Amino acid sequence: MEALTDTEKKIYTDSELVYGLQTETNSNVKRILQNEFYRRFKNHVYKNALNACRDYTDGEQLAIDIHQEVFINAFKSIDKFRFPDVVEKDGHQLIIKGWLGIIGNNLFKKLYTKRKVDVIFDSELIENNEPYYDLFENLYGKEDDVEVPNEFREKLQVALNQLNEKQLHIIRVYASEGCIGSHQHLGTTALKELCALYETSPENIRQIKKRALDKIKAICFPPTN
Amino acid sequence: MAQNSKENSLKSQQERIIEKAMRTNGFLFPETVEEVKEFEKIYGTTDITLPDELQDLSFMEKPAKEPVVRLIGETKKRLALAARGGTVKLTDEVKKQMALDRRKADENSRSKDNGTKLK
Repeated sequence: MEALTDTEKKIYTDSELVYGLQTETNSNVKRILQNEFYRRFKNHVYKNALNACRDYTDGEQLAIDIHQEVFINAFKSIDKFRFPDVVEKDGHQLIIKGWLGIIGNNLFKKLYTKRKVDVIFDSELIENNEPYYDLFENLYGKEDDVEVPNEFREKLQVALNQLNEKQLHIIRVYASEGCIGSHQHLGTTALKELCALYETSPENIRQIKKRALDKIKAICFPPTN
Repeated sequence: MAQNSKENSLKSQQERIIEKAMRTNGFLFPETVEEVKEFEKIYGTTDITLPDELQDLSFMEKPAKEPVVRLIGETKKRLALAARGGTVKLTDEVKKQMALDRRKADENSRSKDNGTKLK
């Protein structure tokens, strides 16, 4: 398989690589650029996918599937990718990783649901479920002033281990939509998908989320007296 | 009142910590520059061993797997309706035939369970 020479690798910065993928018309050259993009980001994506799937049944295979789909979807939608006007030093790479993360979280929802039950959702649901890969303003994110204590990760892992897979999945969907730490409600599409997957009502989904969150809090923030 | 507001603020703070920890500690993919930085601080940027099928992009050339599907909700109802030629209600004749088919199927399965074969 053709690849970039060492000199070419040095010439292509991350932003030039993305630009090349967006503008190159020769399919052979485009393939070489895709290989280089893959070489640069495959470790980051797989590490993320393994971590994100570790608590789920057959998590390793789920991680492999998500990893592959992340790149397939990234190459399909790279034409829409735009860097912000001002990017800090080494920022291009971080922005691309964040973008791949958005794709990864969307794919997790999609592939996990598909594995659980092979379902055809209503057409309405599929149409509304187009991922938001082009919302690049999100990549710099809103600054959150909360500090996560160093030892918190272990506590959170213990807490998540107490949940059953349904609770874990529901909590994960709420977190990926930014609906745990804010008063924002879960999006209609995500809620409909959960209701269809678990064949239950929105109220019940909210109850499951609340119970799961209470369990997590009880372990992560035990009462002091 | 003040006590309530203090409790709500604490609750909200705890929930924000949980969400941020999920985003930066590998429970979700980090999506923003800050989250990626945090993630890399914890997990580093060293390469890990990838499975054979992820070593290169050859997986992009494989045909997509055909999904096996289960129909649910409105889709199922709509397909059933289409199969009846758009008729909302089943006719008595169709209902009778369905009952007959079900009875036959039950008898068949009972005979098999008893070890006898239908001729």
